[in-house]
Amino acid sequence: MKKRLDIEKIAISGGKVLLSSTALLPGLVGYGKLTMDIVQNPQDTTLYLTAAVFLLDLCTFRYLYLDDLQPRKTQALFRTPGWNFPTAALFMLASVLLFFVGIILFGAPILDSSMETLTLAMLLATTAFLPFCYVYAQPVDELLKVLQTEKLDLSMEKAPLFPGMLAVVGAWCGAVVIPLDWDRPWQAWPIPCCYGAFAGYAVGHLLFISASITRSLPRRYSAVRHQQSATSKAE
Amino acid sequence: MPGRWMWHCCSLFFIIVLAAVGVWTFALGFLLSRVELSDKAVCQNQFAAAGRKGISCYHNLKPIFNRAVIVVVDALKYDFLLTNHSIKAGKGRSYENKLPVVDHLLKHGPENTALFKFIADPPTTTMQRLKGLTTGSLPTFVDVGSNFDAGSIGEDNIIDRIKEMGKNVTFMGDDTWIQLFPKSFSKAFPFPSFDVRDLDTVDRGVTQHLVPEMRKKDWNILVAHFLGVDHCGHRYGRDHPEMARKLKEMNEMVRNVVQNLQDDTVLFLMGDHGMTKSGDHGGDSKDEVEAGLFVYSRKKFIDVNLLPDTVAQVDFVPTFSLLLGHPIPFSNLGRIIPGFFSDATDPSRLETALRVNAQQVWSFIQKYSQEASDFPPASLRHVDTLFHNATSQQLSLVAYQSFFQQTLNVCRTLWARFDTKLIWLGVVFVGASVAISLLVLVFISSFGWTQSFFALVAIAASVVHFFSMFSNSFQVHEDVSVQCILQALIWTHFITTPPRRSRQARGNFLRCLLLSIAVRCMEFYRRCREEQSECQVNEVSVDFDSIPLQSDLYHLRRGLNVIAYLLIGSVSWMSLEKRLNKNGQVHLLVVILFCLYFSGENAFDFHTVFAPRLLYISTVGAVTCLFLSPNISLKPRKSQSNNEHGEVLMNGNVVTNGSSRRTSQPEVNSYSKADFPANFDYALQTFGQVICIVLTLFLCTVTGGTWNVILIGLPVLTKFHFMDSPESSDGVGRLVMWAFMAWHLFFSSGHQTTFTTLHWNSAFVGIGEDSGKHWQLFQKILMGSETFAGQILAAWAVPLMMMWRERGDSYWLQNPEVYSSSLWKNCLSYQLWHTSKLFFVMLNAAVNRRHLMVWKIFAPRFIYEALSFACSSSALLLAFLYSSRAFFVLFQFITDLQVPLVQYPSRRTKDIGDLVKSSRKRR
Repeated sequence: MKKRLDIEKIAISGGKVLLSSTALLPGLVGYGKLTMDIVQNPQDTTLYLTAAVFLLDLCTFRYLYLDDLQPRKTQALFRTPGWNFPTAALFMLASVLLFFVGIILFGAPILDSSMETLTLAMLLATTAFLPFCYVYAQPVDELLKVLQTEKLDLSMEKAPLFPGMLAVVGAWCGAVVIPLDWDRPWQAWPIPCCYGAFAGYAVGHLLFISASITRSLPRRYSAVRHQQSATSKAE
Repeated sequence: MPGRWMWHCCSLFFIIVLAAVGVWTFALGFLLSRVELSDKAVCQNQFAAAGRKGISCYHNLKPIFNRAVIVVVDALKYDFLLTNHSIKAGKGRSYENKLPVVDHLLKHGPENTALFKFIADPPTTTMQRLKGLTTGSLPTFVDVGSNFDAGSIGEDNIIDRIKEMGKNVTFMGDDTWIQLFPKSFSKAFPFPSFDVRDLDTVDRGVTQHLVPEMRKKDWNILVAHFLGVDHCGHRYGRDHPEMARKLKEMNEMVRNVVQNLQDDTVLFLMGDHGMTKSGDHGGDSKDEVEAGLFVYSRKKFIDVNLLPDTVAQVDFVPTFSLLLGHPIPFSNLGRIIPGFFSDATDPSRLETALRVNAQQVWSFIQKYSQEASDFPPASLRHVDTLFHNATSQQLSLVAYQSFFQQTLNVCRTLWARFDTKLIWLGVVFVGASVAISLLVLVFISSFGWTQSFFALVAIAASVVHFFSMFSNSFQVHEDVSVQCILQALIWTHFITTPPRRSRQARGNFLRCLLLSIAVRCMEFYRRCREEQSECQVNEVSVDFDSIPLQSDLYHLRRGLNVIAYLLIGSVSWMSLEKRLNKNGQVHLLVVILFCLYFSGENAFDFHTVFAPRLLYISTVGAVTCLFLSPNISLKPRKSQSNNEHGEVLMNGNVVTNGSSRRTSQPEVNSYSKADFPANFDYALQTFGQVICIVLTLFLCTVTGGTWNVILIGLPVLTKFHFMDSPESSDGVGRLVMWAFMAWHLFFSSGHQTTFTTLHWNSAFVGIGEDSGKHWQLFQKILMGSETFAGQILAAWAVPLMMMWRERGDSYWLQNPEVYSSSLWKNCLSYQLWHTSKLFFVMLNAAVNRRHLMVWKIFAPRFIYEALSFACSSSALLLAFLYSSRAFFVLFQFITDLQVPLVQYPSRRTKDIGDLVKSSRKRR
C-alpha cells in the first residue's frame, strides 16, 4: 500500500513534468518561427511573444513549481481568493514604467524610438515580474524579500525571479551586437535585446525545470512519508 | 612603517615606469612613417644609363609665367568658392555666396580661370597640408603630434628650389611657414597662428602688406596665408554671421589682388583643407578633405577641355613648378594639370610636361625602393611597367594617368612603415607590467582569487571591454559601451550588496539611482565623432561661443549657468561654512573666481584673464600648502555631547575656536557629521582638493558648460559614501567601476578619441590675447588637463575611496600598517586596470596595423590611450604620495596628543573625537 502510493505520486509528478515540457516546446518553436518576423515587424512580434511568455509562465508555475513553493506563500490566482487583480495590474504597470526608465538610464535614446523601448520594457517586465503577480497575493513584498536574500541559488523561492533576471542579463548581453558595423536588419534597436531576453529567459526556465525534476523525486518521497507518519500519529 | 612604505612606493613607480617605457618603444615603432629622402631634383642622365630614350628636363619647357601669387586661405572649403544663383541675396547660409568675385571671373574669362575641388590628404591639419603643398609628398602620421612645434622641412620642396634658382620669395601670414622654412624667404611678415580665438590679427596684417608688396618688383613668388576663416570655424562653427564677415573680407582681398595682378603673374587661391559643420578639421571626412583651388591669370593659357573637376593637393607642386619653369621637387608624387600645358601652337608641349613629371616620379620611386628595403618588388615592377607603357607610346593621357594614380596608391598603402621589432618590444614591456602587477597582487598582497560576486562581474565586464578594443565598431561607440557597462556595474553593486536594515537599503537605492541618473545625464554633453552616424549633438553641449548672441538658446544657456553657479556656490558654502579654516577659504575663493569667469560678459580683462590666472595660482598654492602641511584643516570643534553614560564631556577641543554649539546625541550608535571633526576634515580635505582640481580643469571646459561640473561632482559625492557596507569597502569591484567612470567622464565632457574633437579653446583660458611662445608649454598643460580631466580626477580620488563611513580614519589610525598596504593595493589594482586596457589597445594596433581603419580609428585611439595613461598614472602617483603623507602627518598628530590608542573590539566607526573623549575619561 505504502509503496504503491509512492509510485503513484512519482508517476503523477513525472506526468506533470512531461506536460509542462510540452508546454515549453511549442513556446520555443513559436519563438523560433516568429523571430524570422521580428525584423520586419518587431513590435507586434514582441507583443505576441510577451503573450507566449505569459502562457509559458502560467503552465510552468501551475504544474511544476507551485508544489515546491511553500504553501503559505502561494495564495495565487490558482488557489486562493486572496489574490486581487488591481494590485497586480498596478504592479505590472509600475514595473513596465520602471523598466522603461531603466532602459533609458542604460543608454537608450530618450525621445526617439520610444515605442521600441516600451516594447522591450513590456517584455522585460513580463518575464521578470509577472510570475510574482499570479503566484503571490502580495507581489511587491515577495519581490523585495527575494531581492534581499543574500544568496543566488536554484531554490524554489527564486523560481519567479530567476528566469526574469536571466532575461534582463540576456537583454544586456544582446545589446552588445548593436554597435557592430555589419549593417544587418536584425541589429536595429531593440531586436538583439529581445533575442537576448528570450534566450536568458529560456535558459532560466530550463535550469529550473531540470532543478525541479532532480529535486522533486526524493523530496516528494519524504513529504509522503512525513504525511503518513503524521496520520499514523493522529491515529 | 617607512621601510614598508618605501617598498610600496617603489613597486608602484617601477610598474608605471615599465609600462611607460613600453608605450614609448611602441610609439617609436608604430608611429614611424617613411624614410625622408633629402635628395634634390637634378637633370642627370640617369635614364640614359638605364637605356631609356626621350630624356626630358624642365629646361625643355618654356615657362608661361615669371611670377606667381599664392594666396592660402586656411580652411577655404570648395563650397565657399561657389556661387549659387538660386539663393536670393541676403538668404542662405552664412558661408554661401560670399565670394562672388570668383564666379564673376569664371564667367568673364573661362580661358583665364579654373576652379577645382582640391582634395587634401588626411590628416587635414595645416602643418601637414603645407608640407604636402610644397613637397608634393604624402603626409606621415607622426607629424600630427608635431603640429605646433614642427621642425623645418627636410625634403626637397618648391620654396627651396625657387631660392636656389636665385629668385626671391616674399611671405606674409601664418608663422607656421617660418617654422617650416626658417631661412628661405627674402622678405617675411609672420603673424602668430596659435590663438584660435583671434579672428583678425593675421588677416589684418596680411591685408595691410599684400597689395603694397604686390606693387613692388622685388619678388618672384609671393605667399600670403590668411587664418581668419579657419579660426572663425574653430570658434563659431561654419554657419555663423562671423563667417559671412570673414568671407566677405576675403572676397574684397581677392578683388584687390586681381586688380593689381600683372600680365606675367599667375594667382593661385587655395584652401589647405576644408572644415566640418562644427568648423573643425583634422580627419578625412568629405567636408574636411574638399578644399578649393582657384587659378587666375590675365593671360589666356587654359584648355577648358582638359580640365578635371578635382585635383589632388600634391598636383599643385608639379603644375606650379613647370608653369614657372622650376624643377619639380624630388619627392613629388603629384601630376600636372593637363589643361594648363596644352598649347595649340605647340602640340608636343603637353607631352614634354607629362614626360618630365613622370620621369621625376619614377626616379623618386626607384631611389626610394633602394633606400627603404620594404618596398614590395611586385609593386615596383608594376609601377615600372606602367611607366614604360606611358613613356614609350604615343601621347596617351590615359596611360600617364594610370601610371600616376597607381604610383600614388602604392605609396599611400605603403607609407605606414612600421618597425615591427619595436612594436612587439613595446607590447611585451606593457604586458610585463600587467603581469608583474597581477602577480604582485595575487601572491604578495594576498588579494586572493576568491572575490565577491560583484568583483567577479566587474572583472568579467572589464575583460569583455578590453577585448572589445579589437573591434573598430566598439572603438567608435566606446562612449556608449562604457556607459552601458558602468550602469550595469552600478546596479549589480546595488543588488549584490546585502543591506542589514531596510533604511540602509533605501539609502543605497537612492544613491544608486542618483549616480545612475547622473551618469546618464552626463551623456548630454558628449560630442559625436563622424563615424557615429545616428549620433546627434545635444544643444547644451554646443560651444557657448558659437551660439548667436541674444537668441533663445543663448538666454537659456546663460540662465542654466547662473542656476549652476548658485548651486555650486551654495553647496560649497554649506559644506565649508562650519569649518571655514584656511583651506576652506581657498576653496571658497576658487568657487567665486570660477563663477566670475563664467558669468563675465568677456568684456573686461578681469574676467577672462585675471580671474583664471588668480585661480591657477590659488589652486597650485592650495595644493602645495596642503601637501606641505596636511593638518592645516585639523581644527576640531569645541562641542558638548552626551556619551554613553549620559555624562557631559568636552569633545576634542584640541584647538579651540570661538563657536560653541550644543549638539545633542540621542542615539548612541549613530554619529552625526559634527561628531567627526578630524575624520570628516580629513576626507573633506582630500575631497576639497578634488573639487578644487575639478573646477580648475573644467574651467578649461569652455564647451561643456557648468552643469557638467555638477554632474561630475555628483558621482564623486555619491562615491564618497557610496554603500554603507563594510564588506565592500576595499573591493576590486568598486575600483573597476571607478576606472570605468574615468573613461565615462572623458567621453561625457565632450571628448572623443579623434583629433577633430579636441577642444582647442581650452588652451586659451586665462592666457588672453597676448599669448606668446613662452606660454606654449602652459597651454599644452591646460589642454592636456582639460582633455584627460576625467582620468586625472578619478585617479586622484582613488585614496578617497577608502574613507567610508564604516571605516573612517580612526579605523586606519589604529591600523596604520593596514592603511598603508590597503592604499598601495588599491592604487596598484587601479593602475592594473588602466595598464591592461593600454595593453589591449596596443595589441590591437599592433595586430591590425594593416587594417583599413588604422589611421582613422586605431592609431588615434592608441595615442589617446597612451596620453590618458600618462595623465592617469602621474595623478595616481601624486595621489598616493599625498594621501600617505597626509595620513602620516595625521597619525603623528594623534600620537603627539598622547592619546592611548584603544583597540576597539569591532570595526565600528570610532573617530578622533572618541579617542580624545576616552582619554579624558581615563584621566
